[in-house]
Amino acid sequence: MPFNSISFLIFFIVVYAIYRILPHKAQNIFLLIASYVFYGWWDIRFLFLIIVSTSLDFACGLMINEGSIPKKQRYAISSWIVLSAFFLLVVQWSKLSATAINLRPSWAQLFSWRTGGLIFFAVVLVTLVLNLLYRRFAHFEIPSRRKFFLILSIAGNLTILGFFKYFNFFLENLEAIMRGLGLNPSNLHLNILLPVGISFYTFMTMSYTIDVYRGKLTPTKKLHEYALFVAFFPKLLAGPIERAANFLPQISAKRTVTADHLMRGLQQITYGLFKKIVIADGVAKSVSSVFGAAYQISWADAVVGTLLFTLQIYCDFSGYSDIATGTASLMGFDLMRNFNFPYFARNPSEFWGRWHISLSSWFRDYVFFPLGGPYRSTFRWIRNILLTFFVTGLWHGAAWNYVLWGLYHGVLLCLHRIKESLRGTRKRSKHPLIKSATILGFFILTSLGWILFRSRSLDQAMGIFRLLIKDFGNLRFNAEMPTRAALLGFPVFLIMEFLGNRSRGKRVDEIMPMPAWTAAFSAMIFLIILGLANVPTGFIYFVF
Amino acid sequence: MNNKPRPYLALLWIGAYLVLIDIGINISFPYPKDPRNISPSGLQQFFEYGRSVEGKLDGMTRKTNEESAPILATGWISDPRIKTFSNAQTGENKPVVTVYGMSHSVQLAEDMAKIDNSLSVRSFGAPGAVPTWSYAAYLSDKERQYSEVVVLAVMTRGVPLICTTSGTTNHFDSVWPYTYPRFMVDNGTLDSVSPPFISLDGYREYFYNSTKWKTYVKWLREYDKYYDPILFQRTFLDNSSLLRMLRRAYAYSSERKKEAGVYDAQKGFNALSDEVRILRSIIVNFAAEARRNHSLPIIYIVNNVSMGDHLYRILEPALSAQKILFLSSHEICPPNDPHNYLPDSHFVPSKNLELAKAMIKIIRENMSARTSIDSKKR
Repeated sequence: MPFNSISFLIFFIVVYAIYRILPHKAQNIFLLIASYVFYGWWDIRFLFLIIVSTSLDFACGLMINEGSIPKKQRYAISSWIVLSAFFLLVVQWSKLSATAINLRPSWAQLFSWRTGGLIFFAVVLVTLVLNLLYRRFAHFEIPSRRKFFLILSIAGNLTILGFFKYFNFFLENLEAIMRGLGLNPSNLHLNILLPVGISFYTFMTMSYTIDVYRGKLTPTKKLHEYALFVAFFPKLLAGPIERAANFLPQISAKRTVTADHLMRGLQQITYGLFKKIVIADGVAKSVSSVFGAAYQISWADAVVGTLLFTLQIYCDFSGYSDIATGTASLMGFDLMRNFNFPYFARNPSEFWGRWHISLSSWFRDYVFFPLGGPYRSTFRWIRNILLTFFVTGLWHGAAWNYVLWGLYHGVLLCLHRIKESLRGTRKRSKHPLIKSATILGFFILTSLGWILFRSRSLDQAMGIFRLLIKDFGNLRFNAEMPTRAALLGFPVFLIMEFLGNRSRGKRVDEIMPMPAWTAAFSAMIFLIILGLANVPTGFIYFVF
Repeated sequence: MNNKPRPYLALLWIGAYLVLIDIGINISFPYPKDPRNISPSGLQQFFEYGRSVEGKLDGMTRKTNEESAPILATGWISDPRIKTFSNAQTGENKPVVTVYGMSHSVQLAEDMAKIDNSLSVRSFGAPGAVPTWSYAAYLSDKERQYSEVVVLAVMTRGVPLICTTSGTTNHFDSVWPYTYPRFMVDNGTLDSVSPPFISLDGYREYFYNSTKWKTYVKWLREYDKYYDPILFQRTFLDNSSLLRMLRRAYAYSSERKKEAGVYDAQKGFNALSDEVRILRSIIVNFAAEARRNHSLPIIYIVNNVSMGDHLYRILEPALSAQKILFLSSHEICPPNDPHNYLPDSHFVPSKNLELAKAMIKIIRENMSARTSIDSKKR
């Protein structure tokens, strides 16, 4: 159920109508159910992973901070996890669909005991063991107990993430090494599906236990509130990676939907849909015709394809974030800002303060600073930056081109730091021309980085880099043109970005008279209608 | 600036602007009222695409052929004008090759005739013809038994549309009223149901009689998988340019959903789908019927750009098993290289010529081996 689909529109209208008439407590429970339905729409089995991650971190949070979990809570968590294992893994919901039911499935077909049942019994066993060991855990020394549950939480989440996202990557590299050593391994590859949004929600849950461990956060005692923090549907699939300190209080407190919320929400949703449907989907075919070409592309193809992908990835991801933030805003929630006009950045440091802010700040707080941050020697600082960006790249995907893309940005940041230290106390030029040239220069560097990100393999990326040098100036253009809607949308997009950056992110209704900004939004709605005929593409960040 | 947010007033402003845009488009880009005007501007055409099928038919249909849109006359399988091309001169006694299919096959026939003057090439074609149309055209060709070689063209894009019955349902942007039977496979036997009319005159008779038209729409609802009342029936929504665009988006999305059950860009065709079963059956029946008439049957497989060789792969087992000759375009024009295709999806002229040469080579090799190059006695 992607945001740019009719099914989501219907889902949201129904959810919103019910949400607005419910009292606060019921709102939270209703939103949790709605969020699970939203996620289960893709694949109901993977909902179990979210429930495991939620239960694990909720329990670990309490054990780290309080050292105990009341009996009632323990039973609630245990029965929740066992029941969800049964209903999500053993019961075959696909056999209960309207078409399947016509085939009159037998009782035996309604349950999967071979795989689902095996996991179910393992879950029952582990839950029983943990309950039996509970008293022992509670009697641990405070520092050991805190450390133990922190490690348990991190290890649990990383195991889930590692298995589903990186296991095959690990095997592929192992195979390559073995082949290098003259061995001939049989194909070790496992057929593992990547659960949508896994990188996002595991990072959210990990930050919760780490913050509790650090004493920055008091853990919640309400399981359903914590579950809603993890699964809240607008941000579940591709962020923003919210921090519990910001989001949990909004769940606990009574929410009021103000005119301000409505205005912000509607504007963000419209602009997000415009960026996704008109620009990102409108250039998707052109980008694919370059990066997926079965023929020899030219320099012009490579340049246009790269620039269009630079636009596509931004409009796709920031479009998603805008719709997520806008949807949450209509319900009275304030999600953190994920993008702040990143292509106006003049250097890598500024860029990472503007691009995927919730992820970059996560890595800053939970990887870069624990490694020593910027406070040690330059060598240590460089090492920390490169390590952080290595992990950032790997977070995006289990492939070496993502790792290289991360390291590329790490190197840019190191070079920037060296340049800044050489500059010393001299002030930056504020001349508009120099400022524009710096923005353009860094935009080109960012675009070059996206070649690594978009290419299907390292060979392809290197081939494009070679082409950019060797075939320089070859203007023979073969790639597909962007759609009519995208071509008409580019000027609107540029004006909106320029105004947004200039006003430092203020809403358009705060800087323009109503007749002017509503005209801009009407143009966007017109272009969205025009762009709806485009072949919709999935959100790029759903696979991360 | 008044910073107090007023969302409801803003919605009113936006609504008013959208109405203005709608009216502005209708005034600035009106679609020509005269059906004989076949060259509207690109934007006039663009904003017209979303009009309902009945609305489009109404715009192109008049009481006489002279007043109606020329495209109205194309594709009727009962009409002798269906023969869009023939290089045969009266009285000539050359071996006859007849090609049935879409515009790609018409172009192939044209090039074959240019290359080899010793063959008499006939071509039966309709815009966007799906395999069922081609087979129906073959069956309705009264002179088919005089053809030494019969070529049936099938195209990747046409396969998901096999369960359609008309040019009004198989291509929403530009509609053609021509009809063709609905084929189905029942217990391994290819069966068909004919539409209520199969000629232009029949169409006019139905179109201008609301009771008869209703019976046709009812027939479509029953037999045409792509019939959709939202796309087909004329309503007041036709007057709004924005709503027309929304209808077009809906048409695309609904087409994609229907196609998804038959074809997937990565996995190829679903071998268990009705469409693939019907296609295989059509090919086998076409070959059997051609052989009964002592003609040499050949299948021309047109693989569309970016759609790989999926069509070839799904047909190859049946073709080999039945020993049916074929030419698959992917061998000469790899579908993943857009250089082989024109923007309108046809092959570039040089590749089309190569395909024609390859087809003639197949014909020459197999005709001489099979019988003789001498033509049949008419």
